[in-house]
Amino acid sequence: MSLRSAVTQLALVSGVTLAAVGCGGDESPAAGPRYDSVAEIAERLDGVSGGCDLEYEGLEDGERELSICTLGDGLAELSVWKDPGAVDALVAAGGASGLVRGANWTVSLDDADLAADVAEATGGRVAG
Amino acid sequence: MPARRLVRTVLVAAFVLASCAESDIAAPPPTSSPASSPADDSPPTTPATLPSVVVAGDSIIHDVAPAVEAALEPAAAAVLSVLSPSLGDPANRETLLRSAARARADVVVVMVGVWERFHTTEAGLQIGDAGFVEAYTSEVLEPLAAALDRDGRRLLILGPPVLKVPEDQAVVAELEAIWSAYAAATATVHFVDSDRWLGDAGYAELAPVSGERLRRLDGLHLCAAGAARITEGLISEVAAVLGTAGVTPSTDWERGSWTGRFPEDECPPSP
Repeated sequence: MSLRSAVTQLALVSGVTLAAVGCGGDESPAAGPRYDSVAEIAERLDGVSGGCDLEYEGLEDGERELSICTLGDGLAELSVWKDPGAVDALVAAGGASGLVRGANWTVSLDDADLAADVAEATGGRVAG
Repeated sequence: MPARRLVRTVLVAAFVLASCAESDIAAPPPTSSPASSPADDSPPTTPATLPSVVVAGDSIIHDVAPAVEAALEPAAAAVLSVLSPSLGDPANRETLLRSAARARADVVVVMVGVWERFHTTEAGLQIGDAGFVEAYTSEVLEPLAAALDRDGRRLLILGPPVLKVPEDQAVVAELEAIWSAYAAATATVHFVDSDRWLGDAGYAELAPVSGERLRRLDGLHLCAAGAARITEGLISEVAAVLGTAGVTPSTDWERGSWTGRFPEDECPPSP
């Protein structure tokens, strides 16, 4: 293999790898879809344990938009994070037994059994 | 043609890298506080000489935080509002700790209760069950207080104002007893019940003497006069926690733009 050929292969592999993994944070398709608002997430939960009727329109602070609903017999806190990296940080911190995540959002449940249903309905995945 | 393909590939890689760099330095979302976004590790802009106060909790205190900001910023303290509907949720505790670290908070004020009363412990215990107090204390309060204390931060827990529905209030009162007992036994944790600032005579929609509307029609949230009273009390408590003689609020903070956040249909004029 010539030097030029080797460099070409290296550049190809680097380019393809960069394009595949993105730019940091877990925003790959495996992290699930993105949602723009907590209302969008709530809509996806219509068929889960009686649905998620938000207690209020999303509240905002510097980190996220947040609302809350009862789901089944428990609570669900819906968040859309302004920095998707915050989702990775929460998952890395561990400790949440009912956390469902997507690319830029989380649903935090106090009933771990519901997590799988929420993940299926939202396209997310159970993170803890 | 290997040379042409090489150039094209390098250009694609360079473009991807440039896109990544651009997204990494994108401006953080605007906030009303001095704290940075989670992705921004640059030092906060809080002046070193001013105390830093985080005001966290559910939607009730979320209505109070702008009043606290109006009263204390920019001269008396830096204030950061953080949403945290419950402490029982580990994700909320983690978010609160990260926010407190970025704000370099001296005091973290937390008001929860409406949603906290539904907390289930790791063993499935709920408030009222035998062992709940011990489990809630060890799983929720102790880790939070210890993490804050490691960085020299004080935790000030505010009991929420009395709820209109007696059954709901009875459960919140049980939580307040837990917080009060834990604070009494823990030097870096403080507790005060905000009921006292709204009259301390049970649920009151209107102020006893002035007739000002303190609460929204939902029996839960506050109106501007209620938020102002809690802000006044909170400032005194923060000063006590900081060990200062007092914190001087800004002039005319009571009439600031924050009063416009309370919808008239939920806070109608007093009869």
